[in-house]
Amino acid sequence: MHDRAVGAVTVLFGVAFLIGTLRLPEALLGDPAGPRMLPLILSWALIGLGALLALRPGPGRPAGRLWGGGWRLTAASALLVLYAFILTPLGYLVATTIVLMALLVLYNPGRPVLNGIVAVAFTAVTYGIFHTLLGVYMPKGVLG
Amino acid sequence: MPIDAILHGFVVALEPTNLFFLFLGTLLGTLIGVLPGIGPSTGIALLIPLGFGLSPTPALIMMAGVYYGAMYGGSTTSILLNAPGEAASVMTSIDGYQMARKGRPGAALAISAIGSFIAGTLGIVALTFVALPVAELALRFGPAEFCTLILFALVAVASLSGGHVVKGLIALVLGLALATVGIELQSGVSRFTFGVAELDDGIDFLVVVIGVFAVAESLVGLEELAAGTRENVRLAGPVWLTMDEWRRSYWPILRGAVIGFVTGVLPGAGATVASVVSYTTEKRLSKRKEEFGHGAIEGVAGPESANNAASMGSMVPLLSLGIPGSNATAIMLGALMMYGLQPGPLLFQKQPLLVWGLIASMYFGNLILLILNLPLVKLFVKIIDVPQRILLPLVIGLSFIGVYSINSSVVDLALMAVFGVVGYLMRKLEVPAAPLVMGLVLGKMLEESMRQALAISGGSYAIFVERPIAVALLVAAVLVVAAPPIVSRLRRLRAR
Repeated sequence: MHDRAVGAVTVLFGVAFLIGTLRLPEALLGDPAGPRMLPLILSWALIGLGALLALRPGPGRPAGRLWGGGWRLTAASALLVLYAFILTPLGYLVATTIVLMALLVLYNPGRPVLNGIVAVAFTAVTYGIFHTLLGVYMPKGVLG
Repeated sequence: MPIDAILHGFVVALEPTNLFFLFLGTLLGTLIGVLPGIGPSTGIALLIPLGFGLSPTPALIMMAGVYYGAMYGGSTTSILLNAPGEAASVMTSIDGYQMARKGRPGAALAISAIGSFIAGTLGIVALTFVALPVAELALRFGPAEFCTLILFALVAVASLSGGHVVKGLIALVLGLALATVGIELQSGVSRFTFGVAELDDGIDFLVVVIGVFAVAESLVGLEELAAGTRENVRLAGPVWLTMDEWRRSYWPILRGAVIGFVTGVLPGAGATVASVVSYTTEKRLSKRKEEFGHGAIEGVAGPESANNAASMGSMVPLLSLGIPGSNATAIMLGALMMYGLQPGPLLFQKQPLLVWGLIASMYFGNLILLILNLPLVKLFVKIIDVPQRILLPLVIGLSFIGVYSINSSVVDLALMAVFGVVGYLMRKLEVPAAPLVMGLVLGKMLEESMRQALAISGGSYAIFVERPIAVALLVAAVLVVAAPPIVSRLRRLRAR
């Protein structure tokens, strides 16, 4: 019965969105709708649709176990966030190699040499294409 | 018919730079199509940053090539692995995989390449003739008409994206809500930024798209890697047809082309619906219904032609109205805006060389794809052997670069991580992601046209029901939500 939960979360989100919307300034002269109008419509739509789903969920077929990947999935998600934090201080080359290596260990356990080669090669090739060829800015970090 | 403009388009398309990026785009698209688990939407999103340094014409030609190239190539994994990369090739996999298991993988691949080529080319011809009249019609639209048209397109996608209609609508409203984040231009009011300066310009659609498609796909893949493997079919024998197989296929291809193009033009329907309609049509018309599901070549020829014609048809609303009718074209629209272009009726007047150059390039693109998918398919098939356990982490790696290259912002990277997990949850909870993306891409346009309309009417909502086109579109929007449940209830009643 995931649908009821999805509906309930949608209602909560809609309420939060409504509270945020009501703190926005009111419409100004010559702009009858104002910055509030669309968010206001959307928050009521979320509340209504969420309630509808919670009260009348779809035919309950199991959608597979939620978070069935267990600790690996948690670790992979954490690595995604970690990358945002270490990219600037460590620089593209170091940060990407580390995070990619860790991801490969999660996806492809027991092959340290292969994973290492893939992580280093991918980082080097993408740096070559995006930084050298396309001129995308990449932070240098510790190597700078 | 602006023959001059069309001919100029061919001249533009034949410029060496443009030809090169056309080739690159179709090649990359084919690769994306062949890689199992990476659909056209993910592929386009990941490749958008490649176009940042280019001028708009080659960038656009390349992105379009990626788009229809991925639609072409998607049949390969459907047939050989029974692993369709996107919903539009699910129908192809039903009989295609069975043909492959019965020792005719070459014939299945050949007919999907030939069918895609014929239907795709017919689709471009139709696009060439239809695009301008539609754009001229749209020039007469005021803000009220545009607002209701966008609303209709959004609701249609939410309703037709499969599964529970209410969940589709929830995803749509969430997408629209995301689009409100940032400084609102008309009043200068900052909305839902929570004081984060990076959010003042709003949430970049590419961050969300890469999160909910590429990253989420990799997370779902991590979960499924342990679960079990699929039976791979080796490609043996020539990629060609027997005379009898061809005779069975040409009518399905032509019918698929018509069904596909018409469905593709309609907002919201697109390639997936086109392939389903084509499959059911062929099954109904066939004298050997029992063969369907067990390797009937008509069941490959029809849907595969239909989904390619549909991808051409979906270029009509994208280019002429600036309103995408499907997930992949919504991402294309986002890409266009990032390249500094605003598609819509005025594009044909302001940038005729660009539009006609793009359309002309699609004729050549189709030809390149025929070559890539027929004689060269055996090379691409080798890519299928790249194990998912290596491929999926690399998709995440590409996502990092793709997102970072937009604004060089680590806030974007953190948002991508959040949307990756959100996308995973949506997938598991069967909330479709397509309406979310559509809402995010079109949210600003919807609000702008709505407020313009209300400014004209002095705040009265009556403006949306006083104009005939606007009323028709509103009625259509209501019907598209209300009709499916009513029809299925009627069917259930009749079955009793």
